[in-house]
Amino acid sequence: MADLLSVPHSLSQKIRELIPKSKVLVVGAGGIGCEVLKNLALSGFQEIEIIDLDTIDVSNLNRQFLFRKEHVGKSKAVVARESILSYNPDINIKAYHDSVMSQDYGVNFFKRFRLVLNALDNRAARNHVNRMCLAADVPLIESGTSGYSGQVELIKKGVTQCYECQPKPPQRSFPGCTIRNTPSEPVHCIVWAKHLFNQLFGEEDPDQDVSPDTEDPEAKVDGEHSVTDTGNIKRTSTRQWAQEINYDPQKLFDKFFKADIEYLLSMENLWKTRKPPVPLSWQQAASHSGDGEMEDESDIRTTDMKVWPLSKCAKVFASTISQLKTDLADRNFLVWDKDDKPAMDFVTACANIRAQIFSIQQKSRFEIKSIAGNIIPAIATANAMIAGLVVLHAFRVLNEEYEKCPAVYLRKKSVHSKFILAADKQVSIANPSCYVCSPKPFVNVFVNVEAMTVKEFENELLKKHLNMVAPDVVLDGKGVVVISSEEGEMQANDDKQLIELGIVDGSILKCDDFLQNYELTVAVNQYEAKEKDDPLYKVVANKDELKAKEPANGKENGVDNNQNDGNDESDDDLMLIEYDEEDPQEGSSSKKRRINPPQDNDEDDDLCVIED
Amino acid sequence: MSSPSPKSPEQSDKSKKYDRQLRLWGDHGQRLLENSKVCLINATALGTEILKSLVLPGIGSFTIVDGEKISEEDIGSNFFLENDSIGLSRAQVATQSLLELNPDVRGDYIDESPEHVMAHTQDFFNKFTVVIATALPEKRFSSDAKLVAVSVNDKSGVATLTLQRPPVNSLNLELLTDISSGLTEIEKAKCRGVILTSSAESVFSAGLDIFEVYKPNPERLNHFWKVLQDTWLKLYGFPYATVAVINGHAPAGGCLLALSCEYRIMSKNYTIGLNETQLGLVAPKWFIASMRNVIGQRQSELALTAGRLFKTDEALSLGLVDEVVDNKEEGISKAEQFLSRFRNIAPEVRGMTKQLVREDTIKDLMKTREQDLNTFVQYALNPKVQEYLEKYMQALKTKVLIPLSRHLWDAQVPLVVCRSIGFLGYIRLQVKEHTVIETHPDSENPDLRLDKPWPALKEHLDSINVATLDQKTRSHIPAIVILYYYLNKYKEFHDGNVPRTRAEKDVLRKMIRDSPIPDEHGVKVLEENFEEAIHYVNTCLNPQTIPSNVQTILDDDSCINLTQNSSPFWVMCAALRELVQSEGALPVSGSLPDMAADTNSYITLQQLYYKQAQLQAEAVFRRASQIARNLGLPQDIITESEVKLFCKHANELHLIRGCCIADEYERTSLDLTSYLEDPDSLMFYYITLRGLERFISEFNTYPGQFDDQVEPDVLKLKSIISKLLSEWNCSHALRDERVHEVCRYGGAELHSVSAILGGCAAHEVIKLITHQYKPLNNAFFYDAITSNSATFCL
Ligand SMILES: [Zn+2]
Repeated sequence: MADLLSVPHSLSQKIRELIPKSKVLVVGAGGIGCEVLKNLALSGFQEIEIIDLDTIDVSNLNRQFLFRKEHVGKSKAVVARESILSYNPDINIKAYHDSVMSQDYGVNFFKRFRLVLNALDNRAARNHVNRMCLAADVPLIESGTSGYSGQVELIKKGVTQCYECQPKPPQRSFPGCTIRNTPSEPVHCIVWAKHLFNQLFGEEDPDQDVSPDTEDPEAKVDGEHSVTDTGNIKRTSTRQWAQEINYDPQKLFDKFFKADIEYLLSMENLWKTRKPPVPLSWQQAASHSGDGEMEDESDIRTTDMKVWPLSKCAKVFASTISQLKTDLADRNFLVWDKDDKPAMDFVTACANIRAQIFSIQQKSRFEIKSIAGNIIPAIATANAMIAGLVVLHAFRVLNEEYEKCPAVYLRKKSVHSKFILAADKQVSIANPSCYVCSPKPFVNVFVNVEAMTVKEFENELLKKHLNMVAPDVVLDGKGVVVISSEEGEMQANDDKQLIELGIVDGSILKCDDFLQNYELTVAVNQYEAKEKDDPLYKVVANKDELKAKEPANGKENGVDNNQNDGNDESDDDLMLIEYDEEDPQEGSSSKKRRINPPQDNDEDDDLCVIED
Repeated sequence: MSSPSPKSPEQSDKSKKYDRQLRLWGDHGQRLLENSKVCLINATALGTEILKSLVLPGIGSFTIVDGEKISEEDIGSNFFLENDSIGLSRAQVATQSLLELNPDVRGDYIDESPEHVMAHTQDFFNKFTVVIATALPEKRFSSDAKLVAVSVNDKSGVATLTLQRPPVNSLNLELLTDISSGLTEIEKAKCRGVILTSSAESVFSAGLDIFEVYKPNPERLNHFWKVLQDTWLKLYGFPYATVAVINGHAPAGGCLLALSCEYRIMSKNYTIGLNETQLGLVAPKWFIASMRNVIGQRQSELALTAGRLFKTDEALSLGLVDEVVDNKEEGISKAEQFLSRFRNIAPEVRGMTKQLVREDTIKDLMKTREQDLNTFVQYALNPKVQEYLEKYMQALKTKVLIPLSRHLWDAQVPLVVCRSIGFLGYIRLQVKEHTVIETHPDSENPDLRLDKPWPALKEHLDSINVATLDQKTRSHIPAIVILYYYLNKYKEFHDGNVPRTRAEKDVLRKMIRDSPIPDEHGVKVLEENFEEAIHYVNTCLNPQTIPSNVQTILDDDSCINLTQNSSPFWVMCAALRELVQSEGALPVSGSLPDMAADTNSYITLQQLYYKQAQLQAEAVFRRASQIARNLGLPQDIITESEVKLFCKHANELHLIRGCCIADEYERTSLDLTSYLEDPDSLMFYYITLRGLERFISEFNTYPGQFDDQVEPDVLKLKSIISKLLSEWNCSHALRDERVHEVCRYGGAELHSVSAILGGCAAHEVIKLITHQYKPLNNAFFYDAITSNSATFCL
């Protein structure tokens, strides 16, 4: 009973006895994770395990208080463990510097815990842990913050909804032709610039082509197939060509910003209702005058905040290329990182040059970093509050008081300040047609069976969208194995269209993920993208939802929080905030709710006890 | 060729470290943060959690004021106090741990109580940007570490023993012990004489600490009296010459100390006397003897039986004091003069003589010590005596929160008071006046002024005839131009009115939608920029009005009647007011949303908005500078960049005028009816917390702090709360379970609750420091059982 001494007295006797013997898993040692670990340690928890793949970055130090400058580059999980032990060496705490999505952490791993606490930064891992906890039937407390906002909710099989019960707004992605041919917003240029980085220095990805897209449906003239064939440029890869010319900045510049643009101009249909782009040569850009010099080049804050003039963009383009070329020399490829100076400078310069060409507003490096890095502002205060709420929920969960754990929200503003922290009136119940937690998970997918390959189906749909890790897929009724989780077993199918395997409108696929202990029935519906902005495929749990609203526009609040071009480059504590039309003033249970209530009349509706 | 790299790597590191938060409050907010000085009173778990969330984002410096020593309970709830630090200064250990979090932040500490600090350095707290206080009681009985200061003047050989137990040098066990050991120290130093005086401004000593006698622990009471006897014996029979410099009131035990010296010098206009009978006490025999030996049997009898306190001049004529002076300094020098009388007398001879004179009085006590003790103890435990004391008590307590709150209110330093107890949390912001330029509203509609364009904009917009443009130009003009054009067309048909209702706006939308000329197939293709124009109909045509909260600011007395003390904010407001009066509208914000258009026409338009904003901002700047000059304010108080920011955000200016906590506590009526009808109202917590504060002040413990006292404490707290409610003329009663709940916590902090509250308080402090975002106004309650919170304007 000596353990009990370290458990707070104000808790009930039963909870006090449960705390020291309950083993908990903390997933993520970032902003919330650090705070959660501290709170657990100070609440008398004795058996803690922590898993995080990340290493410590300088930009973590403004809030992840278990880390110091000398820890930069080290494993978050390992350093967090050491910091907690230096406060209380008697706690049993185990650290894994690893991805929670790794095959090493199966259902049996999760079953060892009384409780799992998520302090994650991305949706894929959240979905995965959600499924693991459902499969292991372990309660999960899910949390996230974004700037001044945040939320905490309990996920318990059979009691509450799961993390995937409500469809989340899709992470914003852009059709390839918008990026390659007809950008109209700064973000399009920024995504293009990131793709260009990967083409030149990163891991090559055919989906990230930066050259003009001749297959753009809009560019097609009625009756004809396309304007020309692939043009006069030989189809060697961009990387190969860049290496051949030894990354000559002028040649690269003239190709991407002059030749390619001239080629785009030749696709006349595109420019009927659009302002055509203006090709820009290296000569023009480098000698561009009239944009004035930057005031103080040495002040990082100035260079970060101000929009670079064109001539500076050209200069930076050249200098970063030679830097990145050197960096590439002893490696196979570079990984783009918003916190890596040459990589970030390169994207800033390229995005702004392209913006200039397409008459799109240029942005400062600071702004571009936000968008390119999908940076969610983060501060210590919000993390502290949310982590406190997580551990209070944990107490109730230990006592099996699940119904006393409704979702709690932290609101950005104190305008409607009666509820800076507001709790739902009750726990949210599961969506009966949820394709994850319902007894017989089922989902409709809309794909073009004549165009989509098996590989695309697996990567885009099953893995990226439905978040499976290693699916086995069988065509129902026929027993045809479409996809196997065994490496290489069904590789021959990869490049076949779905239809070649007999998958047509109305087919049923049985998809099984052994790791997640998750079986999903997929009904296939034939669908062809018609409009330029139509997605390649759709996933709908319940057919009635088909008419549901379009994906939430990521531009609410003027902050493009949800912008993402597909690669998950999000910073920690990313939380996708959902919007709907409900009155946020009601503390009642709701499926989804606004984190930021609309701003209207000030504090007027605050209670005023005394009039002076 | 290499890319420009920043001059100092440190600076770039800093912006890297703070990258994620710069996105919330920008460089200028960060600069204010980095220049801020934060004071934390009491390094409780809540206190350190708040400071943690301020040190991490990089405040300039912090100071912890805390006189407590680290207890076992502290260790259990506070992450920043290490296991092996029990008994050490809480301020010191917390400061060291917090400094490790961020090398950019400076920190120091004072291991004294805030009331001690206030008593000694009146303006200490004025230098801070914000003061945060946790677990600070309304009133308390002071407990201080160093109660006596001993100094020896090596030249003159005179020792000074200064009583310094704020506020009134009440003689408690600790102070007496310290006096006694101070005398021992002086004795060893072989001095020529001792001056006994006080550090308090108007009190020599208020006498025995009634807290020692009031509801005493019998054991301590015994011990206390014995130490008092010892101290008196020591002082009375002290071998060296003794002088009391009575620089303030000296009732009861204070008078006894003075009478035990050989010579008394008293400042004017104070009082002195053995007034025990007034307090319902009988002065012990040795008290009486001390007086009789100075002023004689007859005068002593008269004074003692009436419990009289004498004014300084009365005391002089009675012989109770020997000299009268204007102030303490003069008193000290007179005392030194007195001591110098013995310069030519052998100290041993002097000492022995004194001893012989005083021998009988001392022997009297020595003989009856045990009996004297018993009489006293019996007497003190008499319920009647306790009743008398109860009344006297309240007046002797040190008010802590109230004077601090008043002081900071007058000094215009924001005060944040927080408490975390069990599952309950409370934050109260006290700001006399707080102004915000950037409130960061959730959504901002573009400020386009299409209903009332200024001449240059009107001229430009009028010059474009959208209907006659060729296909190519048409698709390149900015949406605003299109919107303006069709708005004018609309107005032509609607008596010059702009569309306001949804239906009216639909008419305008239709006009734009129908505008394209059909192509060869008869299909109207709507260009992207026209789509945008339709989109802007909803948000961009609202007539430009001055928001009521901004109008209130412009009509505020501080804006109209500027003084030399006016802040830059008000000077800018006054200048803005003049602009608004002449132009009928706030300055244009100057930024244009992104829109599909060719670069030239977009930039032309952008420049028009930008220039107008510049012109207006410059006008406001010139006017503000002139106003500042006329007021005699320093020239650099108004900067152009700040005026630009101010004008850009003119429609979101925000002002808070708070309420002083002292006023809140001293108020006598409170209408709670509307809240108390709702059984779930968190207003109940306000009442509970006020009851709790009063409980702590009255009993010096938290309700339920001792396991065996929970039930009695529930009763006590209930009666306190019903008294409070009746003081406020409120007829409601508080539900019993709430009182039970609070008593069950026993004053303990639950770390997770403190973490939540700490984040929340730090949040508000950042808002106060950066002058961005609206801070909460003014009290926040959090109930961790239901996870709900509420804000009240108290
Ligand atoms: Zn579900």
